[in-house]
Amino acid sequence: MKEKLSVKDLINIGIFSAIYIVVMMAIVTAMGTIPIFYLVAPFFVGIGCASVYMLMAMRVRKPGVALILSIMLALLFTSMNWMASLFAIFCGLVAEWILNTAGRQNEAGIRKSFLAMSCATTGPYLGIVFMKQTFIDSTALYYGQEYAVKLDALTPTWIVFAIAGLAVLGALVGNKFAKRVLGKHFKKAGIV
Amino acid sequence: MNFSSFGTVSKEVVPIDPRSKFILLLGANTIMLSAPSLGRELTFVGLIGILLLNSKLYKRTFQLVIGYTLLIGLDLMLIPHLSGFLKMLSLTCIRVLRLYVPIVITCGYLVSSTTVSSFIAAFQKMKVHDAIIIPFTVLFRFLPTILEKWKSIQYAMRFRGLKVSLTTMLLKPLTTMEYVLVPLLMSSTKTANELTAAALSRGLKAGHPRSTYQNVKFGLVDVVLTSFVLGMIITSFVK
Repeated sequence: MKEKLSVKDLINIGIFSAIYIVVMMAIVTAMGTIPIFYLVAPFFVGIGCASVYMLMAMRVRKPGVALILSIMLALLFTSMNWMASLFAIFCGLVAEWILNTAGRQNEAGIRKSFLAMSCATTGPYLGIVFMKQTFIDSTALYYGQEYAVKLDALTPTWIVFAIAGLAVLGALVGNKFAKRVLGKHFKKAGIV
Repeated sequence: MNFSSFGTVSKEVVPIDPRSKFILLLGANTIMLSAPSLGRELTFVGLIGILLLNSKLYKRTFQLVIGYTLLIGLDLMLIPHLSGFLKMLSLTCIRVLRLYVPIVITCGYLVSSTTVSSFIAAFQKMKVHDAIIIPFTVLFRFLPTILEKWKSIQYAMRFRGLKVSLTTMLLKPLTTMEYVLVPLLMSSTKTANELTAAALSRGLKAGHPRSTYQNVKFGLVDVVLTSFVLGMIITSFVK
């Protein structure tokens, strides 16, 4: 359990985090062109990033994998809002805990931990909840209570939970996909 | 955000420590998202403008000034004259954009005015653990490589009569993803091994603190800048 991450592991984590971030950004920007799809982007990010995460966790079976990935995500998210960063690290810690309890050799455990990791993508949407309140307060001041109430109805708070749910759902689909792809290509080649 | 510009050297008039730039980014987040008064907002945007000029990022300064003036002009001039649904829609869009423009510009400032080596030097001074520094360095080193690989994968796919387009994405999303992801992951695992060998031969594992070309120093300007930003953050919470 007390194995330390070697330089090789750290480089592996760096490379796979880079792929994770690129896949995530590519999907989000592709979705972002149509605003409604922007809200369901975490679902597709979950599908796309599952195999990257799986491969990373299977190549580096030591404590700290998920946490370091989440810290990289958190650094990226500082460009959006700091709640997103904190939330990403929290997701990483949960993923790490799941990996620890399930055992790092356990593939099902890795898959389960991705469900938590996938939620990290929900972070940027937390802005909707927190920013909305300050936004509404300021608009109520300028434009009256009625407008603020209308705006409140337009962006319900539960939408964030729906997005998190979508992220988990996407992770489930992604895990199926990852299992098939990794079994078909990587196990045969002896990479994992 | 343009990651490929990360690491290009930009000469600053007054060198500013990456750490204070990072605090500036955090400040942009907290201040802009806490419904600031117009005066505070303008002060902060002015500060970013000065820093951008300091780093000789003229194009970004231009973007900030034009974009922000346009949005704030629309906000103050146009919106009071509108009414009903149109007002609500335009107010929401323009206000949200107006608050996010400084954050995005600050992030661009951090990325394009800091070299990777000065980032690492700052991290080392902050006594950040190697477990963060090494993946972080590899990550930024690897981002352009991924774009290169992506191009090669597309060529290889075209060679076999396959392509990635909107139709294939919509009709066979999983198959398309498999065609792209598998070669990408496969060659990346190879690169990981090569990069490890290269890093080890350069003594990354030696356990001795590494020296850096770039020297970072937390000077007087940084002290003034960070205390100013921290002051703004704290007052935006207290208010």
